[in-house]
Order: sequence, then structure tokens, then C-alpha cells
Amino acid sequence: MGRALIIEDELLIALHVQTLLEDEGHCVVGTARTADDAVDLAKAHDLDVIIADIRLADGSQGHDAVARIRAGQEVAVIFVSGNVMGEDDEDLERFAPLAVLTKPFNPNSLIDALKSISRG
Amino acid sequence: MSNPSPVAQQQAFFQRIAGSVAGIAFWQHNPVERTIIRTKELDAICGLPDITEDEAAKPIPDDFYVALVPLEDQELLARTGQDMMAEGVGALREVEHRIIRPDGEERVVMVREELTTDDVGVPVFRGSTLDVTDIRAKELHLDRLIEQKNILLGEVNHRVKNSLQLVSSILSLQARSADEALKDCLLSAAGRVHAISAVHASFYQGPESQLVDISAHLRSFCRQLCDSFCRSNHVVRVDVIAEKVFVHADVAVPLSVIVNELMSNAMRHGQADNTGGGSKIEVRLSRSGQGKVCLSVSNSTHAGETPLHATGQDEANTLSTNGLGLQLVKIVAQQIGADVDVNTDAGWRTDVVFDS
Repeated sequence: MGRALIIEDELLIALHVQTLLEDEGHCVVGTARTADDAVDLAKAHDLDVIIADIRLADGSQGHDAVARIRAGQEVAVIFVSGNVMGEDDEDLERFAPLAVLTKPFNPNSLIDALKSISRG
Repeated sequence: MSNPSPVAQQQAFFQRIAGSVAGIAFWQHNPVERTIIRTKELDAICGLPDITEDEAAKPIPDDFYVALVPLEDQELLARTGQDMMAEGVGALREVEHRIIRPDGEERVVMVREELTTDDVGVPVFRGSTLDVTDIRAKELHLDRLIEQKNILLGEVNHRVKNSLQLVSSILSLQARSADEALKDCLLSAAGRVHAISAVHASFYQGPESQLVDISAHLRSFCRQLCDSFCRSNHVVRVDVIAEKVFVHADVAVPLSVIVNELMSNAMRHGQADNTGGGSKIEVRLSRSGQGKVCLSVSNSTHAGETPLHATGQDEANTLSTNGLGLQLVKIVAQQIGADVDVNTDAGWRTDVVFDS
């Protein structure tokens, strides 16, 4: 079982992701809608995985939040991106993510990506 | 002094028209003597006082023009001239450069020139000059509008994808708290939404933003459907054999809905083959001549029931998955002008033929 942080500004999508995580036996420590909220939540928990949307409520970027969180702890990341023309791909690959899912994502793709956390 | 020939008169007439109507200036520049003769339009382009045609025809030092050209552009003009001299008589060039008029206004001019010789064989540059400042400003404005449009389109597409994800998530969440019968309906609905959503991921990936590589989408989408089905049902193997075909977005979405229905039916009604290896489904996309494309979904191991030949009971029950599935396929096929043919001679196969 791992501890997960969800960074997503659409709370219903976040709730869906939370159910998928909990079905796989993970514990969701919280949902953050902005990069700053995500960093604050991360300070209070040892995380195993972050599920991060790219574009957030206040215009901040999910991968910026991940970079700031990783300054303080090692944590795996799964990006969920609604990017249109692949312009985010190069930026995201440098984080060595477990997966980069494109919205609307197939829930099974998220579950498959999480399995490597369970095995780790 | 003999009168000019009719041809010369005609040329002079057209040159006057080019100058007075189109604002094109003509000139001859002697690089050795550094003198220039020109039509009066050149002075107008440079923002200088009006002169007569006779005044313009007298050679004057070229400093009056050079003084108007910014230093960096003078270097460009000098290099161009040197290259042309090295190339020899007949060399042609087109170059744009700036001028700063006496009143301080910056303009952009396009120069087309040729290295030739005058009456006594001296190398001279002859050419035309046109003020293109307004044209370039409009082009820049259009470029910025196109960039803004692309950004806006990207934003709209992003919003659509986010909204489709919301719908899919809501249906999945609702299904979790529903009883078994309702859960099947909701998950089926979520699957249909996903069929529409999934093709959106293919938008903007092709060489043109409104075209979708439907073959790539089929491979990805059919694999997802198969993976989802196999997690909780018997094993299904799907072979996707697809030629590269680009279709408009308006066709891609209905095709995705059709594939979802046909695949879902094929997987539900398939059964293990006689080697115990699970049912086999083939999805084929191929051009069939005369501008037509055929999308074919077949299952050689389907059970006796022919799912898309809905029974009277199914047709009456529009809430049944089979009845609605048939309706959806027929309606969206009609929308894209496609013909649907179901063949049950050997197993079960549905062909959807549409215009490419």
C-alpha cells in the first residue's frame, strides 16, 4: 500500500482517481488544486506516488509542483495531461514518470501504472 | 532626334502606369560613378519633395538614397551588389531593406534589380523599388491572429477533453453505488462516452489539425477495449489490420462509436475457439476503391446469436444493450453516409463502408 497525493483542479475527476487508487490499496493523503497547495500537503506526508494534472486552477503547472516536492523527497509520479499537440511531452519526460496519460484517460491505464508502485 | 519606336513608346507608357498606379519606382545605378537616374516615384517612396520626370531623369550622386538607409541595411545592399558583380552581367536579385524618411518614419522597400550594361558597355544596376511596409504589417498582423487562433483552439480542445473526462468520471463514480443491473447500464454508457473521448486524444496529432489518423486510433482504442473486457471476462484476442487513413473529425467520432458497439458485441457474444485459446476478433480498415474505405469487425468464433440482428423483442426494448447498440450503429452510420452490411455466413462480420 502506498501513500498518494492527487494534484487536480477538477474535484470530480480527483474523486474518480481517488476511488481507483483506493481500489488498488493505496491511501490518498489529499487532493490539491494548485501547485502551492500540493507542496504544502506534501510537506506533511511521506509520499509514494503523485498523480498530477498539468494545468491547474490558478494557472500553475502540475510538473512544477512535482519538481518542488521532489526537492524534499523522492516520489514517483503519474502525469495526467490534456495537452493538445504534445508540447508538454519533453518537459514531462525529464521527470521519468511511471506514465503520462492523456485526458480522457482509460482507468485501466492508470491502474496498470500503479501496479509498479505496489510491486516496488 | 528620331521619334521613339512604337515598342519603346508602349514600354514607356506601361512604366508610367506602373509608377503612377502601383507606386513602383524604376532606376538605374552606376556603381562606378555612384550616380543614379530614376523615376519620380523613387523620391515619393523616400518621402522626398516632388520632382518632375525631367529632373528625375538627370543622373545625381546616389548619396541622397544611401543617406536614408540604416547602416545594417547599407551593409546588406553592399554585399548584394558585390555578389552580383562577381556573378556578372545577368545577375538578378530581390532584397528588402529599410529606409528612414527625412521625417523619421521607417519604411520597408522591396528592390528587384539586375546587373546589366549601359549603352557604352559600363556595368550598371537597373531595377524597381516598391514600398511594402503596409503589406508586411498586414502579414505580421495575420501571423499574430493565426497564432492566437491556434492557442484558442488548443484551449478549447483542452476544455473539451477535460469535460469529457468529467462525464466519464461521473458515470464511473455513479456505477460504483448502483445495483448490478444499473451498474451494467452505467458502465456501458461510460464506455460509449469513452469511445467519443478517446478519439479526441487523436485530434491535433495529424498533419492537419482537423484530420485524424483513424488507423492509429483504432489500434489504441481496440486494445483498450480488449484489455478492459479481458480483466473480468473470458480471454479475447483482437487483431487490428488497418491501412493509414486520415478522416475528418466529424467522421472520426461516429466511427469510434461504431467500433465501440461492434467490438463490445463481438466480445460479449464470442466464445473460446476449439483450441481453448479464447475468442478472436478482427478489425480491418482498408480502402475499397472508388474513394471508399471499409471498416470491418468480425468474430469467427461467435455464438449462435447474431447480436446486430436484433430480435423483435430487442428492437422493442430500446433500453436493452443490443437494441440500443443497433440503433446507435445505424444512426451514426447514416450521419456519415456509410453503408452497413452484416454477414453471418462464416462467423459474424459487419462491414461499414464510407467515403474517404
